[in-house]
Amino acid sequence: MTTKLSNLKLSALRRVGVGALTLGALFTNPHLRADETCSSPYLARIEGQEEFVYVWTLGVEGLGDGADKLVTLDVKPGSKNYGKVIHTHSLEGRHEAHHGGFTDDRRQLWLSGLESSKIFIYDVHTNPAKPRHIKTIENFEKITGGAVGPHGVYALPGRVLIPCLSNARDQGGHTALVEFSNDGDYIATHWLPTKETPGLEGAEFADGYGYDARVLPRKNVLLTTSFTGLKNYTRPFGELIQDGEAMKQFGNSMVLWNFHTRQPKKAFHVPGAPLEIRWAWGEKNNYAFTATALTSKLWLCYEDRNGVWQAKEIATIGGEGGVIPVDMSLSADDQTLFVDCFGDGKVRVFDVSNPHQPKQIYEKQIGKQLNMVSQSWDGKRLYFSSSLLAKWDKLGDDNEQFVRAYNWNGKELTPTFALDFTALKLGRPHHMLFGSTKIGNATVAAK
Amino acid sequence: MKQTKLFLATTLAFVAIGGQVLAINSGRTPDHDYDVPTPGSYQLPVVKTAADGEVLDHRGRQLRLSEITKGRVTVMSFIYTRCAAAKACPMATGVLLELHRQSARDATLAKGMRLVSMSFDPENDTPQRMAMFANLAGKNRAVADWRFITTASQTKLQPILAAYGQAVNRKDNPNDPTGPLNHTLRVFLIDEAGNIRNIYSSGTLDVRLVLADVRTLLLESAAGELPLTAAAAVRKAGQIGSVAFQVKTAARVTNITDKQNPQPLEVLLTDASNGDNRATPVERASVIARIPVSALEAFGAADMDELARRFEGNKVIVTGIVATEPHPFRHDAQGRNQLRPVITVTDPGQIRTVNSQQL
Repeated sequence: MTTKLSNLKLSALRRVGVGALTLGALFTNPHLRADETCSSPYLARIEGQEEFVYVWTLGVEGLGDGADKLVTLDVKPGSKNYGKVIHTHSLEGRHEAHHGGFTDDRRQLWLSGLESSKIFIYDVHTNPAKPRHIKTIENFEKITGGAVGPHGVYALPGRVLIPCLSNARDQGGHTALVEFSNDGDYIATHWLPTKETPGLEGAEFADGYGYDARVLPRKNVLLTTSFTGLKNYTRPFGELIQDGEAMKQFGNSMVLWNFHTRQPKKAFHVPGAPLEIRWAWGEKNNYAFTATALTSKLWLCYEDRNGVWQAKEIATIGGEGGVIPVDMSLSADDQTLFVDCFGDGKVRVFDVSNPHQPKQIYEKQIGKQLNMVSQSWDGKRLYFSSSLLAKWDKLGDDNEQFVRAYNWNGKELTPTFALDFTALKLGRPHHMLFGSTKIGNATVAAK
Repeated sequence: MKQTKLFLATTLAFVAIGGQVLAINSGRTPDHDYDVPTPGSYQLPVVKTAADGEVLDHRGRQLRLSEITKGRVTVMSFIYTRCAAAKACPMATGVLLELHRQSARDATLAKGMRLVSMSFDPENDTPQRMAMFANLAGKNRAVADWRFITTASQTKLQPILAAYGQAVNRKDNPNDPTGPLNHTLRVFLIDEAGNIRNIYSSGTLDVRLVLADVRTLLLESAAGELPLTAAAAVRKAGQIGSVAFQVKTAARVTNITDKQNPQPLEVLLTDASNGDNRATPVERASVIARIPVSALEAFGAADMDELARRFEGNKVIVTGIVATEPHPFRHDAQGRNQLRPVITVTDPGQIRTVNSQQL
């Protein structure tokens, strides 16, 4: 058999080996990819420009129907509805709408409720302009063995990874990563490591808290960050910060895992609630950024020259006063990092061409409060939204609720459209995800 | 014919060009720059049951898909032979080809692993065309079984694709040089009982990882015996094993030596399957799964009593490192205590509640 196969191989290679090489190069051409830069590398990619922005929106009592809803915006160039709401779907009640994510084939959009621990699944394949609610996972706490506060939804092959924020027993910050199949069936729960976790390097820093979870496939590593538990994030912010004991109940750690085995390997001390993780996309860029909400620092987690993973503080965001950095977006070329600051409503833009020495190159006032940002793959379009948490958003006139879109020319942001979610009686806009009628192959992205 | 040659050539080119990608013995590559975990050192929880359906083999014979997704650890790839995208079907077929080669050097793999390449393009991938691909497998019987299958029609195909979550769309340009179909790259790892245990895409389709996973399942199932009997589990002391039993006593064990600290220590899921009524069920147990108090939070139980009640009366398959202890009531011909298996469980994923057909 070996001889026969070798003959076949050699002769076939002689005939079209060069062609195969050419096709391989074509297929990995980065210009063929598009999408939102913060998405999972396992996700099927949008071909060309995004056509829709899906906005997971918190209901506000007394405003419109008061319910959490999925709002669809038309952002297709040349569309008569460009910059307008073209569809909404309201759920029953309010669940603390927060983050979401697609399955890897991009046929479903999963949205999580931080307070009710429900997961709402939408079909965005049949008609991307009108997402259809197809399923709700109602018993998340029970089937996961006590994890609550499902946060992000991160596409993995044939399944999703859901990092949680809390647990049912004490509603504190000790929590878990949960996996579901794309069919919505429970697979596994992985509890965040603590000081007692055997074999964990840096176990003294492990606090069991969770927030974001993202993978660098090329290195087979998963990185997690840490926030706080349900009893804190459902409490009015003004009241919470007066409670010294409660303010101690925030995460101060990042954990590096073996992704394939889901086993934690190393814990890092990162004080002040490190939140979003942004892995670089470049083929040799083995690093990720995160920002600490309570201490306003930018951190880098990186593999050093000896192949050892490290974490270090690399910049202060917004001076020493504290601006509560929340969401971040790294450009696809790993050169530019956009950091949204809830405290003063500004986006700060850093040149991160040298990731160890970021330099702020621009800042702009987006609103009186600011939380999420989503950036197109070509780096030309950014979408911002305002809401952090129902009970942490600012009060009175400072409680602006918006989606505002901008173009970025490499030097400055110029507005393209803005939607006032209060005037539209929609609610508090949070996570924004891109949709399209043109979805390509689900080959892994640059990572 | 031309398209088939292109696919074969792209597959083989992938194997050759990506020699570094597939070189198991040489370790890391730029695309997979990490050490592979030791087989058996980690768990592969069940994702879902591998779906059945009506398929055709490369000779045109009709068979049930379940006939070739059970009984061995199976690596199944959905492909279409017109695909010329290097990181799609040719890549998947290249990985299966390398696994096939590995099986020629490893009798355990040859005996315990099966490879399946299934087309999602039945109009073009007829049994005759799949027969050409079967040449990849050769006729050497000392290697793993490799099946090349298709379906008789879209009607037969679509339920299978839906059940496996294999997305396929026609491209706007039917003459696209990389092939006329958009699709997710899906390769499935299926255990001997027919459960999907891992799903690979182009980002995770590292032949070293697939091989480690196959070997993990082979270790788990003792090369063809899933689940293990209690006696077989005893022979696997120190290795990963899956033991099936009915929980006849879910006992909470309390540290009675410290009256000031009545902290419950552990839950024992026991199968008290012998008939000695003079002993306690735990003493009679032929299998014990032990859940220490340190795992209480992982199970999300308020206390050990609740955890004990959770499993009472269930039929379960417990997977973990098998240890042994002397059985208090069973003896061999020389009067020595026989051994019984004990598996310490710290993760809920190590216990599956199952129906009676699986026991």
